[in-house]
Amino acid sequence: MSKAQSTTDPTVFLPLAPADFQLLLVLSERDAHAYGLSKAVEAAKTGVKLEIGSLYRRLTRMAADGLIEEREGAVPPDTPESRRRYYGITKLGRRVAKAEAARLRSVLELAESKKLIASR
Amino acid sequence: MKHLHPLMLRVTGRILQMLLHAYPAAFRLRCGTAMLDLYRERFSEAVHGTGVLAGAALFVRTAVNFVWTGAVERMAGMPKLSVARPASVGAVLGDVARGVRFALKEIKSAPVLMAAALLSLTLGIGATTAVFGLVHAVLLNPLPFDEEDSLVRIYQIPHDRPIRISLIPLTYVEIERQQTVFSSLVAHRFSDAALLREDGIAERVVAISVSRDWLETLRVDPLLGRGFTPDETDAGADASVAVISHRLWQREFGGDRGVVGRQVTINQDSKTIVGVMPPRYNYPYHADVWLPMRVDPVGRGTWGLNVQGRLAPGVSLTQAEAELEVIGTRLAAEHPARHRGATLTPIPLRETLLEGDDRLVVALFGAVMFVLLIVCANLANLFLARGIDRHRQFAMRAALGASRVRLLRENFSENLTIALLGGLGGFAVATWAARFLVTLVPDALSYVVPDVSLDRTAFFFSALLATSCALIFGILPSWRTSDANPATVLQAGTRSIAGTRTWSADALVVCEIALAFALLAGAGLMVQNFRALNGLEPGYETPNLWLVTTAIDRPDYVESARRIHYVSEVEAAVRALPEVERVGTTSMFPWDRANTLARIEVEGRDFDPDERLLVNHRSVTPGFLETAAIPLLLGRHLNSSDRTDGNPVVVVSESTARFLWPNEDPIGKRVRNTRSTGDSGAWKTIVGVVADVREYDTHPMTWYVPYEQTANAPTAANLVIAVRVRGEVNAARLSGAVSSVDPTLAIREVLPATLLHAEAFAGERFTTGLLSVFSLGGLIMAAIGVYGVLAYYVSRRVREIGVRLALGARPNIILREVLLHGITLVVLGLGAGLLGSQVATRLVGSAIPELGRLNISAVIVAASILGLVAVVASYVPAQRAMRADPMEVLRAD
Repeated sequence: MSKAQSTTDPTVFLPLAPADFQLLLVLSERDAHAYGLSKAVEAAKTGVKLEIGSLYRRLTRMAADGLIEEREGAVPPDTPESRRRYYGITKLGRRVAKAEAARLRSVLELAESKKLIASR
Repeated sequence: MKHLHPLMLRVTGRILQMLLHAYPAAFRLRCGTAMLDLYRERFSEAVHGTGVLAGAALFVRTAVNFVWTGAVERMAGMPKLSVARPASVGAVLGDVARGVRFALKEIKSAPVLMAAALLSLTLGIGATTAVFGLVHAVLLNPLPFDEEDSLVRIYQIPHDRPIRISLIPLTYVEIERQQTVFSSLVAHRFSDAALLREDGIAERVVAISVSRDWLETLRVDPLLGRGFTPDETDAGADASVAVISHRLWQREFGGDRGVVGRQVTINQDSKTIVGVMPPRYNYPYHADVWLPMRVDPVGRGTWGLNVQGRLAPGVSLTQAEAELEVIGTRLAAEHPARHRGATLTPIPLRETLLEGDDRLVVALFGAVMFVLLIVCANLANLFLARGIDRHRQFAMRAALGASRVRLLRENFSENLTIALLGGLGGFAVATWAARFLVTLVPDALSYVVPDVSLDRTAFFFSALLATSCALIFGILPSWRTSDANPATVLQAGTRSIAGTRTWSADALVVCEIALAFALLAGAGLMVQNFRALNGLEPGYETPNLWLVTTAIDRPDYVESARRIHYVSEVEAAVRALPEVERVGTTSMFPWDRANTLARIEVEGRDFDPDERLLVNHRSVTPGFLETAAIPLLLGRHLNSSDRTDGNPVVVVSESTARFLWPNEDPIGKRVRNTRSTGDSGAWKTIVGVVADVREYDTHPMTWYVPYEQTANAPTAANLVIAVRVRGEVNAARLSGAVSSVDPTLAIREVLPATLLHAEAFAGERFTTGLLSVFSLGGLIMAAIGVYGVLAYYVSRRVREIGVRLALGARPNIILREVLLHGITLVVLGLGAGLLGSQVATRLVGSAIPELGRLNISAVIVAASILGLVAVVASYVPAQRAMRADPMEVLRAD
């Protein structure tokens, strides 16, 4: 269906779009529905903004790539909440997020070595 | 406020629900509900947190986002292209090249369809570009003055008649003395002058006398030399200096750069050339020569002063208006004869140059836009029809593994190729058409913009049109194609698609009929209006009538006796020619764009001074009315007994008499010109009433005073000698006879009255002619479009008709059904068109008040033509379908 299943190499997804990375970061902690995701991404204040259409487009694509998957929520099935679709991170998604974080770290180190920013 | 939120949420939610259709169906079905749910949550949160505005902002952002991501999602053809890298340049170019090849192949394989598309594009874009070039040249091009926006011309406008009158010297001097809103003012005065050429022949040139601050006000720099110094303008004609036009410089002096300082003889005076103006500068009145002028407040001349003002920095037109009104009121109190009943008004210079001719251009532009819309509707139909025919081909290729982006790209470049070919053809047509349109440029504006050239702007306009046509109408059908599931399309054959297309095709037909109808009705209206304007009898006989125009506005012709002598000598010389039957002279001939007016009062009647009647003033010799063959209705014509020392008399036009004495005999009543003094201001007895004649500004109130009794008036220096001839006449012999009296006076023009009449209405005739051609073009385009779509619709149903016939349906019923469909579309289209043309007429009517209402006959003609086309377009293919063998049809699929 997509590259994700034919290869286990997470680096094909790199570099990750900032919004994708943010979503993976939120999901690495806990499963979430779209509303929770958008709130969490907003709350992180990393400058990433997600409009509704873009959010769903990304979720659909990431699910198709195997980075995330839809999951049954921990909600009783007949409440209004049950209409919500929960998303969780897959193993591949976790590896991709790690790889992206490592990549970002090396980028930061490069910036530090060029004295662009101070090293901590 | 509280109840507003749920309503807002419901409405915006509904709109977003519709916008979800931007996404491919699969995506929409999967995520649509969840997306709307999320929107509702965030909306409530935003409204409760920050307020209604935050909610509105969220809605706008989300709506834009839906459309955008929807488009991206479609283009990406999910899920295949989810992580696709951008296509390589080579691949894109390959697709484009394939598209171009397809386009060329398509033109070969479907010549009629493609020829129709190309023709529509070429003509539509061509006409639009040509007219755009014209509009650009006339309305948008800068005048040759720096910061022209702050230049105004000052007029006196009578309260009872919307005409603009030039200023008299007194007014100019007073405005200059009292005003505070202009940084400077300049007055121009027109005169015909005789320029003595090196070969000793006098040539007529337009000499413009200018006051102080001429070039400073207009902000123009001479090409060579300088303008006039204040000393020179104060000295006036005594200064003996002149500035010449670029044209005159080239013609008479061969462009010699040492021309400054040379001598030139104008009106028998030797002048030193001090400057040459830049090319194309001949403001005002096609000037060849500019001379210095001292404005004498009590001085008088044939022509009024053309006064321009440069608004001081920071002063608005409204402020200038207000101040001039105050000055005008003050002047009216001091000099009631000259200033009562009129307002001093500043009008932006550009507007004065257009003088209403811009309305013709705008009307034309509107008509062309209509044609273009019809062309677009046609293109949409053609492209849609083609898109559907190729639906299967695309589906097949998609099934065989071609990516959708690639198909879209190919299809797009194919449409773009066709559109660009059309654009190119359009540009060629425009270049060609522009040559004809040049004659449309308002005379007044050609003082400064002598030619219309197709510039880059026009080309880009044309290219933009072409590409948008390709974008919109090319992408629409292929969009739908790329969204479809190959399997369904391939299984369905051609049946299912016909149905899906019908409503959009029907809508296009309705639009097309509406546009064509509005165009036809509007054009009919304008043509009819023009006929009404032009169809009026001129009021005198134009065949065999010749007019020789000259002027005796030289200092040696100021004396009345000298003028009277000159005129009688000229008439005698002309009468001596064997081919001449009659001769008479007037100070002003109708249809001349300029006019001279008199404000008259009636003896014994206590008119409010502001309401005295404004009439066309004509100073005529006894033979004029008979020569022009203006019918005498009452009393007598002027005759040779009406001399300087005789009883002051006047002949008035029918409408003047009727206005002043609706139920009385006007003969014997006395009237006088309130603005004249001495002899020409005396009470005049009405001795005759003549029929009205058509005047240029359509106002037929005229009085004819004997030349001998008004020869001292400044207007009497302008002469039009009317000559009634038998059969053939030689213009040179006429002008020779006139100039034999005084060879140093230049003759302005010699022309037959028929030509003058034709020229006076040339602009209108050209526009209405062009408009008729456009309407015809629009009608043909609309007919093609209507026919094409209806025929297509019917041919799509051949299979269905075949089945029904095979099952025993009666052909008549099917035929009736098909015809009814066509007629329904026409009726809908005509209804929409009628509504649209009403609105359009209302809009145009506010710009052209004399246009009047939509007339019934134009509406009926337009409606019946379009109706006929629709019936034929439905009938012919339906008949063909009826004749088809049902078995053949069924087997074909």
